[in-house]
Amino acid sequence: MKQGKDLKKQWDTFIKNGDSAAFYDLYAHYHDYLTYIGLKKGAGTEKTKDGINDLFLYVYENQQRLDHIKNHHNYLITSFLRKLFRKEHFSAEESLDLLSLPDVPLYPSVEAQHIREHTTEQVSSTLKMYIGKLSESQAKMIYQKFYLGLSYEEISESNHVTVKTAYNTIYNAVEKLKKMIGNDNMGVLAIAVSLFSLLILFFLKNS
Amino acid sequence: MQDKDIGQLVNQESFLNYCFKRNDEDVRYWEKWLIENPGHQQEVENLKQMLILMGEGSRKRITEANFAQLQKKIKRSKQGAGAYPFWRKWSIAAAVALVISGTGLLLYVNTDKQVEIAGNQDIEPGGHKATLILANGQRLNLADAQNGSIAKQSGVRIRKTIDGQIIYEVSETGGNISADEYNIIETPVGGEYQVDLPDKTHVWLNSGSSLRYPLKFTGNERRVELRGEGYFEVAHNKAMPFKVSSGGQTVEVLGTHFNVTAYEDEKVVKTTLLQGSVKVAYGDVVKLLVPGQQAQLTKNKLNVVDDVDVEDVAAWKNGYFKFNESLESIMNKISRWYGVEVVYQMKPDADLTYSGKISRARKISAILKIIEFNGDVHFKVEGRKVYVTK
Repeated sequence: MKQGKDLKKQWDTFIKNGDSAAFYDLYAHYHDYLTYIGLKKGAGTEKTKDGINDLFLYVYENQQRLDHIKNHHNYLITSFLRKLFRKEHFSAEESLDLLSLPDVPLYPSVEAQHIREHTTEQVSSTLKMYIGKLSESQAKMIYQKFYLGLSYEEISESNHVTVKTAYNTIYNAVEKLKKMIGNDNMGVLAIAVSLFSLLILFFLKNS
Repeated sequence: MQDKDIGQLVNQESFLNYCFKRNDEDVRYWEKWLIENPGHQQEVENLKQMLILMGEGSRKRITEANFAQLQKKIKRSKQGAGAYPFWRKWSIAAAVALVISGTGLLLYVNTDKQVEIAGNQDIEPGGHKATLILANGQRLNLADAQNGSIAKQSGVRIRKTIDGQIIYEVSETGGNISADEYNIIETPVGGEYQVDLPDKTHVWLNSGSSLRYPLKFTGNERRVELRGEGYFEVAHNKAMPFKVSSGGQTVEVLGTHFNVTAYEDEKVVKTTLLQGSVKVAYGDVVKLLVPGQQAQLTKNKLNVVDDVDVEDVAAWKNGYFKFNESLESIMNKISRWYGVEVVYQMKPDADLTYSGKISRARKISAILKIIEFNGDVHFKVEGRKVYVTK
């Protein structure tokens, strides 16, 4: 599992050469973590997104001047929080609280990777189309619930909806996709996955 | 538990913790439950796998959407009054910030670089210099002229308002002006001037340029001829479209702001629109421009380019250089403004981009230094020649 510090190579490459691919890697990686932190701290979906983009805009424009940064991970987190801070007028106490953040590993688990690799073409394309058709707020909530792991309460607060709406949105989205994929296709993939999980279950049971 | 609707499990945080392995206790609970309810194993697996895929899919969509917004912001800041230049990935990395304001504030500069100036002869920048050629052929040196009325022809008074600008005042009771009476305003290398034409159109003329125009606009169009570079703010007159001819092309305008670059020693005639709308015609090819677009005339082809950095294009008229282009392109501009000859002692790479922004009021060493900071190039100034080496 990749941690923020592991992207040092990408950071160095970007700072030295302005490499776009490295820049995208950094963004894709930190986008999850910073969204997680921002939402956890109650900044709301829009402000968090703007905070992340303003941070990376700054990094992009000041690529030449950031070569003195030794610890890019701390720099990015701190700068992000400071920006959000100013926007939300956080109190002094909260500021200390903000800085003590766990290094939450939100990155794809081994199992998730396995699933991704073994998904059939059909399921993949159905999924892609389905995700594309979701409304912006549906997609955001699913991302927050399933990928980032925020609670239903946190999601309702961040997206300015009632908790009930949060529950319904997620539930409906899952049901809809189930229908789209259909039972046959799920079966094929499920076999590969169940074997894997059963193995894990067996292993865990006996350890 | 037997009749439990598996779909409802999504509402339970503990189940989701199991799916995504977020809580050991929950994971143990649900694994135990699965062993006790083997009939549901398949369905739960299907569901879990789907949730994982939904998580990944939505992550991709949201991340990419947000990244796209970031790209837009980057683009916008590049075009706007952004203080820092846009670094393309293939431009040479060097250790500097390139914002130099008119007051000469240098930030984060690597002072190891020294531009070699032979014999302490740093070169002065250009200034307000131009010659006005009247209809009768008389030549007036505008730099030497006093402020105030400098000439009067056929009821048209020409006044120098301040250093660097003349305006035409057409009096109502003026005498008969024949349609053939033209004036030409010419700037030398190292000169620039502004003129308010008889119809109140305002023109900035860059170095080594000339503008030919009638003493009074009559008929159904206003026609002028440009050589070199001019920035136009055309006064509205629907009845008389404003037309600029240069390098074989004609730019037709109703009332708007645009820049035309038509130097004879350059391969492209460029017309950039900042505000309003213009038609650029070459032969029977006509292109309509919207703000932000640039028409490029090369050899015999007229093309339109989108999303040009208009700040780069209009920087000269606002008193500074703002560049993001090849070395040769920048050196051409420098040679015209400072009146120097550029001698290349190495072959400049046309694919490399150099960026920077600096006031035109600075001496030549200042701008050469900025270019050097971009990397891989070195300048030596001797007399009125600039030698370019690696």
